[in-house]
Amino acid sequence: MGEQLDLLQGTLDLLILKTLALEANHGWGIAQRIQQVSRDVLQVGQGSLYPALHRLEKKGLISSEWRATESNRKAKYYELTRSGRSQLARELSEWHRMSGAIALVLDNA
Amino acid sequence: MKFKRLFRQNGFEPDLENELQFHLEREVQKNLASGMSEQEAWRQAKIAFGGMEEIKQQCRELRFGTWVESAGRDILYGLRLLKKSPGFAFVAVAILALSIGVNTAIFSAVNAVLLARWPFSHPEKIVFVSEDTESAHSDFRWGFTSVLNFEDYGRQRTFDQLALWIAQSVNLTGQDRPDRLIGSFVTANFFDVFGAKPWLGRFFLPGEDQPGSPYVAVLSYEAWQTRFGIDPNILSRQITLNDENYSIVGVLPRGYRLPFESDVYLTVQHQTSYHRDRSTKGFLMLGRVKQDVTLAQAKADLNTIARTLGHDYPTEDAGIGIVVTDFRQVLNQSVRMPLLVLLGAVALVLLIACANLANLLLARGFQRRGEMALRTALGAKRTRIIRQLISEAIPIALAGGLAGLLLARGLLPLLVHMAPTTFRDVKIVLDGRVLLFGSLLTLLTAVLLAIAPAVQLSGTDGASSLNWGIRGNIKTNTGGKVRAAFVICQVAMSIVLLVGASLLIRSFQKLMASDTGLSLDNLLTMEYRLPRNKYTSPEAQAAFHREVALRVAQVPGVVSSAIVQGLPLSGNWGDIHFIREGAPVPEKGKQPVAFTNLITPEYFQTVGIPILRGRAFNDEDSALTPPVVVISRALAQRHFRDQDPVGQGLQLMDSDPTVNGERVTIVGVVGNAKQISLRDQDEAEIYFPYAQKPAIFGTLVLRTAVDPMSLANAVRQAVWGLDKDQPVWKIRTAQYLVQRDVEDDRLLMVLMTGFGLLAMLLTALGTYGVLSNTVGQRRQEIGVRIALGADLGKVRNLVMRQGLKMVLAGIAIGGLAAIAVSRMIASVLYGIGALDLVAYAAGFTVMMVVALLAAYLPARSATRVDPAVVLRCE
Repeated sequence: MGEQLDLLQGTLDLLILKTLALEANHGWGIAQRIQQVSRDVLQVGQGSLYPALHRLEKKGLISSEWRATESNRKAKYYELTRSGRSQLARELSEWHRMSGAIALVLDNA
Repeated sequence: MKFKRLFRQNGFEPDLENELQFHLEREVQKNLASGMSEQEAWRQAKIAFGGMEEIKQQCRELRFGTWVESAGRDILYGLRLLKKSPGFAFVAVAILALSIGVNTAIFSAVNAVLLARWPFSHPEKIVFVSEDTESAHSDFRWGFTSVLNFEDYGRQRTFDQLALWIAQSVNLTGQDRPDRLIGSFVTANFFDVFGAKPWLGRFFLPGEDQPGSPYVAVLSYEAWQTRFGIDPNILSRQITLNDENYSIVGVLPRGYRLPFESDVYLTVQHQTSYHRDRSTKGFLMLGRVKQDVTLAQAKADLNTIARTLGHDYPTEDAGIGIVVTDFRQVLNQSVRMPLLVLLGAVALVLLIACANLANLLLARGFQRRGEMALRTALGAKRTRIIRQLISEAIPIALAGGLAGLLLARGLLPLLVHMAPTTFRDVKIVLDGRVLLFGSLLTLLTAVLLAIAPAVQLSGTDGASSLNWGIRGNIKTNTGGKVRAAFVICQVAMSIVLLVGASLLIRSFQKLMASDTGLSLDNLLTMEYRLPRNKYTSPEAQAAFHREVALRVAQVPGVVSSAIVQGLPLSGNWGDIHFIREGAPVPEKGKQPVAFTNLITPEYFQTVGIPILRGRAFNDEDSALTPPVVVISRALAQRHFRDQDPVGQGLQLMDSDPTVNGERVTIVGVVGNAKQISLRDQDEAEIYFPYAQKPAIFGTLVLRTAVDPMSLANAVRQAVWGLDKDQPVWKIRTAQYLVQRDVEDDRLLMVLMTGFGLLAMLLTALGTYGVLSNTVGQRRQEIGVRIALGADLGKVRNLVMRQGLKMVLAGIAIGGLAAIAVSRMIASVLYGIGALDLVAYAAGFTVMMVVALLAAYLPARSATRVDPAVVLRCE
């Protein structure tokens, strides 16, 4: 396991949105997924995950619903709303532009 | 924390709980899967999870913000603080309760009288139309018009309705005993002015107000209720009014006893002074102005017609002009100014109370400087601290507001008791509007209370006050300046109230000292009006007046009795134009005018008006002898300065052609008497004998040897012995009439004095509070001074001087404000000017003495500082 990085708030929001774009998921699932996909580099602490979820839901970017899990336990599932989807698209292109720009500077300066 | 449960919304709390629990469980499962023991799995999961409560709180704040809950916390905290100092809490709540209480009470009177809700639409379009003189400005006076003029005014284009109206009592007979109803004689369209719809039956039909139409009557709901027991068959009933049989055709809805409290409405042509001419000006006009027309336009419209009338009929109408006035303004005429003055006064009281409480809170806040500094240092935001201070003020304001409303409820009956006539027709209640007013005041108070300490405390530099809080060292004293400013404001506002109160007290004294001209004790009066169709001839009318006076004089306990048409202060009066015989005739509108009155010979002797020259009337003066008059001293002084008026002649000028040009001989001069009110300036009066002038209206006045009201029944029986169908009404004493006349003045004076004293006490309390606080803060300095041998007198003066400075500054500012304010109340003053020096001096002195007394106590305590104790503390 390599060094873990803390996430900036905006970045966490983006990751949550991206994760939910694949499928609806509950908080624990989201955290696990981010961890797995980032190969354990990104650890999402509950202390920032749940406030972020509630913030996004309040903004109307995601919505929540109680559903049964595969093990038949009730869990709160989040999914992207329509405005969440377009927000994700905006933020993604923003991110690519930004990271591209940074990469250019780092590679060529 | 109980608040959490209170504010749980839509199952948010259990949801959050479940969600986090789920996370924890999955974490445990994951740990188990990686081979931990169950105990270890839970332990690790919980460690990874961190502070569950913290996460929950963060989520809550995201959802709902923190306002409600922390406000609740602040208020609870505020309550705890208050609980620790019950003395402060009690004083603060009491001060607020008093000031909110008087504010709410006065506002409820204003609400009931000036903001009355009328049961009809657009009351602002309903106006009294007064036929006045061309030069009349917009002040309302009752200006009467004639029937034919009214019909000409019908050519107007600016009114939806223009109606004729006159109120007059009518005799109701044919029952167990005769009674009097307040009648209104109106044109058929009268009810359309108000847009009223009949409760029962119908109103008058067009044309029913023309001569020759049948006798029909409309009852007010209230009269139907009290006089006819809500008889369901009332519409098939006939009643005898003024000896004529009237059919009742309709009943008005409740609350429509307009424009004054009428019992029964009759058509105008049955009124005794209805003559189809221009000389009998016996009616008033009421109208509803068209929706898109202003009162000024309506006035201009009618004035065009009035000018034509003046041109066409110069004898009757030369120089007439129209005044149009909002009818609500006329109804509230006398009480409007006093109520507004009182409202302003109580607003000042509230401001003083707020300044006072803010000062108390400041002093407390000063003690809490350390605490606040600590909180700031620990990262509390400035807004957060201000909010806490406001929240602490809220419990005080709420308790004060609530107690104030209760107090107001207790004060209302007192208010009505003090001015029974003024508040006779209105119901003063704590309705929704009043409660809203009280609540707003409470809220406003809370904010005002919190602002000053908030500004002071949150503005302080954290480090230095932290320093102060711990070490107890004074370097800056900005709070002292703020508090001194508050005291100066309180003194200034109190000065305004005290000067106002002294002006009103002085004015009231002058009013009460003014001579009515009558000797008022043991004088009983009552009124009657003879039905014209029963007492048709002037001789029959005069005989009744003469006879009834003789009969009631026989009642045991009656010393003497007489009849007068318009008893002073009774509300009845008349006037007439005249010139001294032989004098040049002045142009119309500039002729001298005097009150007129009809009397029987014993009048002057009965009421105690002295005969100065010549004689009173006697039984020799009759319709067969030359007409004679008695004049008042004021008239004699103005028009007969050069010679004895007795034996001289006057020439009467009146629009009534039977009177116009008549020559009368003066046979006597009597003392002056006030006619309309104690405030009357002009007391010129001409008395005529009943025997020479026909009249159906009379006021019995009796001088009694015993309590006048105890004879009321016997006197009434004596009248009924003469005519069993003749009602008498308004049985009252002359003393009552005087009290009624000065009622509004007394109300204003008493309340204003009360508010002035309240303001003064609050200010004294405030001065005392600030100075004793200063002494407390400067204890060490004072101790050192005393230790170094400072003269105790000088120490005392140190404090007194500070008090004196504040008071003098307050008096200077307040004095200037009082000058401005007293100009506004000049119209309610009698006998003194708005800048009456005595009143100002009294106000200043009282404030000065009380404030210095309040300063003396802390000054004295300063001299008692024990240097040993203080220095040891250091």
